[in-house]
Amino acid sequence: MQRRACDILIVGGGGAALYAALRACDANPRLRILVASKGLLGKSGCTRMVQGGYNVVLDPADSFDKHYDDTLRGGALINDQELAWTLVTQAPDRIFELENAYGCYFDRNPNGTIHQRALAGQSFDRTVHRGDLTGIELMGRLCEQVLLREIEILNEVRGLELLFDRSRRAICGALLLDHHSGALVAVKAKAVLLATGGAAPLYRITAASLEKSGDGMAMAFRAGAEFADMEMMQFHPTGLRAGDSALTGTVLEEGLRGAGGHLLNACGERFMDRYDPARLERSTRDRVSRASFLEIRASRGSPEGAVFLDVRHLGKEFLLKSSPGMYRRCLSIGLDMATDLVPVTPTAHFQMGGIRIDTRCRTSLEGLFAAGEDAGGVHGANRLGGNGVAESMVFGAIAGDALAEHAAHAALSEPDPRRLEEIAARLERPRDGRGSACALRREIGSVAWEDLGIIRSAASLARAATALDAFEEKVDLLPIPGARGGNSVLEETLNIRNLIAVARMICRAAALREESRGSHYREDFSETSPGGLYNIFLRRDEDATIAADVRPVRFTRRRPEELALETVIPGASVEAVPGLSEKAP
Amino acid sequence: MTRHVILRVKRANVASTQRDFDVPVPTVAGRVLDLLLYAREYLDPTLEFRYACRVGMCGSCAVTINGREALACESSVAELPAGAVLEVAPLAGLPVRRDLVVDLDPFLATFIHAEAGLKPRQPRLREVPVIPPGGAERALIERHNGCVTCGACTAATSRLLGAAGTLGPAALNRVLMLALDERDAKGHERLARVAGDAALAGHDTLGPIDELCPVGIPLSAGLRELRTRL
Ligand SMILES: Cc1cc2nc3c(=O)[nH]c(=O)nc-3n(C[C@H](O)[C@H](O)[C@H](O)COP(=O)(O)OP(=O)(O)OC[C@H]3O[C@@H](n4cnc5c(N)ncnc54)[C@H](O)[C@@H]3O)c2cc1C
Ligand code: SF4
Ligand code: FES
Repeated sequence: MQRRACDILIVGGGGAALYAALRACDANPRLRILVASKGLLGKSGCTRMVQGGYNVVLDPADSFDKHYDDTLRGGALINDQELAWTLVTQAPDRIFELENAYGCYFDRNPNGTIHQRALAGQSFDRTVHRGDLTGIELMGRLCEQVLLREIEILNEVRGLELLFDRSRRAICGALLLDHHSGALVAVKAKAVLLATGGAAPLYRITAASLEKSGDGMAMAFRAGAEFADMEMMQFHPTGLRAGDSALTGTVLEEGLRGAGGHLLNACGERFMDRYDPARLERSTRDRVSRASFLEIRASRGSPEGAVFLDVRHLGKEFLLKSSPGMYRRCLSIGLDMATDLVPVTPTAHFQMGGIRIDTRCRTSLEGLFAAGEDAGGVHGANRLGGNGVAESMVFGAIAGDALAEHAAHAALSEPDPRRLEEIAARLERPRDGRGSACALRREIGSVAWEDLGIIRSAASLARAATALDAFEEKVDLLPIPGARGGNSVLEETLNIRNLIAVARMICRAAALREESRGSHYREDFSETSPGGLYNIFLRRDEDATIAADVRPVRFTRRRPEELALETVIPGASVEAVPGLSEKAP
Repeated sequence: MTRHVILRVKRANVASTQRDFDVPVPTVAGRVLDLLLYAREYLDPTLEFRYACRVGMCGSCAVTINGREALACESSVAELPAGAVLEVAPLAGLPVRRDLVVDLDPFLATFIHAEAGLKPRQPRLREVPVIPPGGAERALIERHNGCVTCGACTAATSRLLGAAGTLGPAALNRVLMLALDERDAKGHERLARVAGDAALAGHDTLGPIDELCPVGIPLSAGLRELRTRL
């Protein structure tokens, strides 16, 4: 086992991780900052895949109050009101910094002011973007700034477990696994940030980048941190269905529905008629996902399990202008959106639930911070498009500042040697076990999809709980061939163990919430209950079971009666997307 | 019936330097990435390659396919006839770590050497500056933006010119963007650093790299443009 020490350890390589590294470094350039990323820094993760953009109040005619109310309505009123307020009020400063200090190129109006459009559930055009591929811009610029600073990067080195000091009260570092060499690296740090993204890839069909497996959450759970809103998982209604190809699940922009795209089942019927006659396809993500799921379940989808997105009537010219990236993607699989129906399926997109944090990104464990998708509470029961990447930037920055502050007066401490040994011992696994990691992963994905996903019930959750117990046993038996370095089977086994830990929390919280709210839908409790204005907090109990605590939402800034419960996709207008349209086919 | 093709992977690290995998072509939307995933899952769990986004946005999956640099997740195999051989090798000009995985550090180092990041004039400005997209500089920046740092162009340049003496088109492309960027304070210093770069002198022979860039950046024109600004 190798040993290292630093002031700040950042686990993750997406938007929140990079932002935190930059801010911590600029707060105090003498800090030794170590960033360990499972995928390549700045390339892995979902921030890189962001399409629509970043929500921020910039126009004098818009206001923090409007953005805030939209966010709480979108979250079905159970957001942590202080976290949501922090998101809204700090979003502008991050855009100024991204533009002026880090050099992002955001799309402009012809007169040179910044261009803002509206995504679903917004009362104002407030989404800043670069074409329909905003994530490349953000991550490209953040990454080059990181490269130009004294920040040490460990690429393809994953966080395995958090380490406690000898008192077993404070986090004092983490154990890492170097993918290429197979070396275990015990890193001592004064402060640790988890920014590893969520666990959407738990599900058989997902839009997220595939290396993610809820690792940060699983590590924090095993260390005893408290979690919020774990029943809340967002599904995007229009994931591409492309057979066995890895393209299946990737997102086709919401703007296509906003612009008037139709959804058809295999009988050619515009089925949203039956689910939300007033808003049809412009209904909320959760409703449209649910409707598509039910059509497919009732065998009214295609044989491979898809419904169809029909944008033919919008015309080629419009499609090329409004969604050039999506048009090109479909064309590359032989579908011309202007003349063909596109098979689509709901796809697991974003996890609202996560580690409970305060407005300084502190978790319930001393020395441990979380930011971005790993954290819960900001979005409540549902996230608005455009608020996710804003969260990663805003809370990544807060975490960077908080880490630097914490490191200024904390000391390094020795990790508890017993725990180190325990973890190392667990990695020594049977070489002659049973089963296949890939097959097990697929099984888990299917169970999550059917029983823990878009539609839940007491029965489905009980089935899932039993299945998860069985998976837990199976994962311990998986054979791990060969050396630890460059071992994809070992990596997948670790992923599976983490996904199971997260799935258990989802299952537990979903069983406790006996109502439907936002992204959480119970077939057996299909109404939103007025008594549902609470949050479910989970943590690991002494005996490794999950302890739950249900606490009423704290209405520190808005009372529920001040907010009506509806969000709709705005209708889009034909607008040039500067730059990208030139490169479209 | 499913059609099979031969995926021939050049493996630099193992005893036999080449290995053939007999893989089925997905019925819809098959990519080289799908073939690699299949080979790893069913035929050889030790096969190493990189990917993350699977939609051409992250630039992790660049490899050499039948002698040309390309993204594995964007290279369609739909047209391959049964039994065809598809040869996949790591990117040229970079040290191979294992199988198709190269050490990207030397590539990333080109951006560090070029100081290819904004050196802001007004880092603390608390507004978004008004910059009309139609201005000559901005329009040119726009054409050159969108690099996913896949390394394809830089690998191809080392194939065409030899690796010595150049930072490669990707880092130089960013230098050009910054030279045009009114928010940047380091334009001339940065240009002076790259003045002797071999790719600037040899840009005439680098036409083929334009077709390789997965996001369609006009790289050779950019090198020419950069040269006029030195
Ligand atoms: C297709 C798609 C489109 C989206 N579009 C939008 C949009 O338009 N607007 C919006 O607001 N939001 C959007 N989102 C949501 C948005 O991407 C997320 O909210 C946000 O990017 C999360 O950022 P993050 O930094 O928390 O995590 P990520 O960016 O996902 O980064 C996670 C990082 O952690 C690394 N990692 C994982 N496990 C470990 C480990 N064990 N050790 C070390 N590192 C690890 C990963 O490799 C990765 O680098 C979209 C999401 C998807 C999937
Ligand atoms: S310029 Fe194009 S080919 Fe070169 S690294 Fe960037 S995206 Fe790849
Ligand atoms: S996997 Fe991201 S570009 Fe290919």
